[in-house]
Amino acid sequence: MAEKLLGSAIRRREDPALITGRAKYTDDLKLPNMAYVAILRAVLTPTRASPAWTPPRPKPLTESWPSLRPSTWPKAAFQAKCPWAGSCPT
Amino acid sequence: MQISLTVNGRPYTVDVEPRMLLVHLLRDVLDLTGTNVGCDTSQCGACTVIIDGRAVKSCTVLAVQADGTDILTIEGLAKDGELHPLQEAFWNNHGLQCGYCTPGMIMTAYYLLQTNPTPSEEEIRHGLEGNICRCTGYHNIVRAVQEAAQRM
Ligand code: FES
Ligand code: FES
Repeated sequence: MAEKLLGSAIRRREDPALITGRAKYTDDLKLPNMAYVAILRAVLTPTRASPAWTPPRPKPLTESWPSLRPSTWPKAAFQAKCPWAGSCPT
Repeated sequence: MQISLTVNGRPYTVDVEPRMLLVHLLRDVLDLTGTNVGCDTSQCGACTVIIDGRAVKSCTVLAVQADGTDILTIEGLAKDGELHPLQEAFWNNHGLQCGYCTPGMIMTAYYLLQTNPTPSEEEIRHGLEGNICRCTGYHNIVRAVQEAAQRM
């Protein structure tokens, strides 16, 4: 059927998995010791997280995956550009 | 809380938190990840399953509400390795691209064809109103449902 390949629709080879629910999306992955990350965003837009502020600590999933807080973030995380440059409280 | 339900013909008895959504029971506990979560706000329909014969968005239902019900998900549609006519028709008609909406689309279409075996194009579009597809533009989905209706 090579002569029919051009200009004709191809039966997609990925479809069987997609129409039967066997396809794996990122949300479907389960890996050993997998952890979920939730990012708590600022409630007010022109604010920045302060290293002094500690959010309520959510229950860690396991002992080896404690929740992160600003004081444990690398310094660079606080140097992000602020649109109100100069007038941002640091 | 302990609940018992049948999913794709298989009985399950599971212990669930009262706040757990049905979609998370299916995906995370029963490992039936074919049912997708597209929005969590009951708009996209990617999570649609058949509960006691009716198409329901499983992100809108608590797992405990499904106690005693009979559920059909995309994984239960093909019988003995034979694709369901809807699955064949989606494949034949390019009724999908990324496929993320497809399990929900197919389950809603399944319900539509159960209640109306010969729907008009308008009825198909109306019937699939609660399902959003970001890829196909719906034309081929409608065609797929039309073809499946003819074959069923
Ligand atoms: S995830 Fe249920 S409607 Fe979108
Ligand atoms: S095929 Fe991608 S969302 Fe419908």
